[in-house]
Amino acid sequence: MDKTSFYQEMLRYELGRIVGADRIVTDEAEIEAQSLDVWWVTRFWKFTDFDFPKPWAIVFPENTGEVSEIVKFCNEHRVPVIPRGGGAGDSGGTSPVTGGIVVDLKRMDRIVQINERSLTARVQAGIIQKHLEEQLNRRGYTMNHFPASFTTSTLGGFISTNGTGVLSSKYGKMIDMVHQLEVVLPDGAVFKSLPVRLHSTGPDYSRLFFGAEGTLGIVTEALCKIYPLPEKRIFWGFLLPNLACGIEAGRRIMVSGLCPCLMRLYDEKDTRHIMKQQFGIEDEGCVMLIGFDGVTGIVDAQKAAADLILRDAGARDLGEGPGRNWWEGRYKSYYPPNDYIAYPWMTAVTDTVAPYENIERIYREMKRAVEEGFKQWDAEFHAHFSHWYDWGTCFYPTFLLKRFPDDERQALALYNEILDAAVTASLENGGVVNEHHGIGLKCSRMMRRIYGERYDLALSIKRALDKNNIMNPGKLGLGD
Amino acid sequence: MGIADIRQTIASCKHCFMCRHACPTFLATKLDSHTPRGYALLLAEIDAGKADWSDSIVDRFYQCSQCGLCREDCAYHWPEDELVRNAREEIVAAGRAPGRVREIARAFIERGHPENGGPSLPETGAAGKPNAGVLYYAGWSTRAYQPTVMAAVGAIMTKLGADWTTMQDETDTGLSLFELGFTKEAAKQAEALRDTIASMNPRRIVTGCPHSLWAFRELYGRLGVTMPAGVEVLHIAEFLAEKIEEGALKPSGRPDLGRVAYHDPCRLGRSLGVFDAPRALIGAIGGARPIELFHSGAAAECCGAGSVMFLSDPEVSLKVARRRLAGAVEEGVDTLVTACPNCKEMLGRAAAGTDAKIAVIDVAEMTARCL
Repeated sequence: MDKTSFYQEMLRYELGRIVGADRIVTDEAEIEAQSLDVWWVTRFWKFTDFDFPKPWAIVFPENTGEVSEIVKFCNEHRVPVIPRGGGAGDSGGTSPVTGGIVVDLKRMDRIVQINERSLTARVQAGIIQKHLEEQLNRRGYTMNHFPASFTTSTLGGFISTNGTGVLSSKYGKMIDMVHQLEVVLPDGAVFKSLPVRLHSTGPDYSRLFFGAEGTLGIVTEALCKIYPLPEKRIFWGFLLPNLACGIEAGRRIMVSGLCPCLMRLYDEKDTRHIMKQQFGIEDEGCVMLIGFDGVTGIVDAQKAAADLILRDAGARDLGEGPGRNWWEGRYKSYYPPNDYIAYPWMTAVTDTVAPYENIERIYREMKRAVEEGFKQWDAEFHAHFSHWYDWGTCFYPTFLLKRFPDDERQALALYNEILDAAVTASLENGGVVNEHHGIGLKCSRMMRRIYGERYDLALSIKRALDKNNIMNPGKLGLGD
Repeated sequence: MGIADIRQTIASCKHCFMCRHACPTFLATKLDSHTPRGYALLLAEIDAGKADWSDSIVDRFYQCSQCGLCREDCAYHWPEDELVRNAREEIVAAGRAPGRVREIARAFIERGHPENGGPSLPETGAAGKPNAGVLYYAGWSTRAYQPTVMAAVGAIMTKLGADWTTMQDETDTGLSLFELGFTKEAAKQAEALRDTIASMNPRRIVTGCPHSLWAFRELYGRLGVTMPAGVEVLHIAEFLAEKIEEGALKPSGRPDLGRVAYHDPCRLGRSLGVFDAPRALIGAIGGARPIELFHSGAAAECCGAGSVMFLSDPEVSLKVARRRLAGAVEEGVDTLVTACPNCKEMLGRAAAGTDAKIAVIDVAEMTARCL
């Protein structure tokens, strides 16, 4: 028999009265299996001798009413609540650092309603995005949200990190993809934002919960935008002479009113290491993959207009192959043995978004801070620019150390030093970290540095909504 | 053997979430400890000496049907199902198998099958006849749960005028013991069955049980058990499709099946690649090929019966079956045809607990309706 505590048994009894005993899990198997996300530090924690945080219980509600009752109970008894969707984040956002209960939303996976006139889908927050997309596709629709964790993460998780998919240059971030949110607040009350977000009936309060990572409540349902499956979707590859030319070409495409669904510009290092392997491209430069979708005539016209801009920038047309191959195999690099996380390497992403006037400088300074600042560890830095707007863009850098100190404390300290150096380089040059991976524990300690005194506003909102600080403590720099 | 043989898979899968969406058991329970990643994490902890075979961990390893959909879904087809099979070897070696699993294994070892009182065997042919053209190997679960399938095979063989026989004291192939983690005992059972087959000297073996087919075609080689030379092993769907193609079997009329779908048994489809023969047979008998379920072919979801989970954990097995059946009901299917006695059993149990107006039948039963 598994060991259990008096406290766990009390939670099982009390929460069992709300959801039924079979949906309260306190056993070792599930607690261990849920313990890791994909952040390097949690993986490092788990497989070294550091104490690893564990919840007291995991509860699986099936509807908003149950979530509300669970949160009321926890608020009354000051039990920390950690909302969890896929648990596949990159920053320790679902790690129960102060214990408490995990509210696992994956049983809340129903598509409540599809409105084919207004093109909306009302969906429970625990649905895995792939399942939602499959059901939409069967009816001829799509949500056009294709992040790396498409097969495993949930709608609520994407909303709570304000995530971004690979087609975001046209379809936006999660905040652009949702009309209405339903949220269980920290006192158990259910808040539903207005049916549309484009109003002037006071502020759009739903914005509070995009990217709040469960610190202000639990997202339980969303009214999402959907689109008809595109008549045509094309992808193309180009090789640009260097990064500066690539960024400028991308900027010109975006400010000219073109609307690529995909635009990915790989830096020289990424181009050399990844594109050669995947596409057999030997030349120096920076590869750009670009895609358009929608009505055939518009797709063809946009492609022709983009071709002119890219040709003017000195781009070489690589044809359809690289873009098509990338799209069809876009998840392949996340499987072992290709995924970085399959190796005992130290890695982190510090995705940064900034206006065009700063973006290249931020990239160069961040790269210098990592590669030169940590030369003794052969630190590597590479990036791609993958989410483009008409005012700026986001680059997705990865730092990588294939060797680091054997001593666990020294290794963790080194990780934090590199992260600090990278984030500082971004902040000092006008960048914002992170663009779409969320803050979690990874950058929680940096929030006041990122926001300055202005962060008092966030703390005031947190105290007003969550008086007992039960919601996902330790995250977003909002206190333990 | 055990964890030692799967360390590379553990190291890879313990960090990877990508196949979670596909696992039929996870979809039925929503527990991460039912996913390959969960299994790999638990095994990594046990291998590192940081965890032991607690009751909950052992239970999870006996709540997987080893259907192989995780391996199929994986971009690199890591052998994720082996995480569970090899862990069970380790659990058995450590003497930690749950009581119900030990009881099931004991029945297989002592009687050759797990059903008390022995399989109910309708007389479908002259049992024990040597040198027959066809040895029909029913499989223990067909005998125990699906006598109508056996009767259908008997009627078909009679209609064909086939030179056929069955075994007098049919024992399992050893696959059930293998899947439960009793590898040595499985090999012993396989050898004994091989000897019986050799003594009967049939030209062909026909079975309606994909698990048995997989054991003869794949497992025996792995266990070092050599089948008698020259004996061809076929699934009944392959055999019947062949007879229709040859003109030896001519359907008389069409059965009224309504909207028909085919459920691919995991071992027949995903493991052995037999996708077309059952569909061709349904087309020949019913007049049209079956509709495809949303998850079909190599991506077909499991019915929950695999690796005798319907014995070792009938509750989880039924949850998985209900999900699969609900998918067919959603498609408006009137008749769900399958080609595995275990699939028929579990999908039938799932249907029995609902208002769904859906019939679940075996390919042999379908064929026998229009002899």
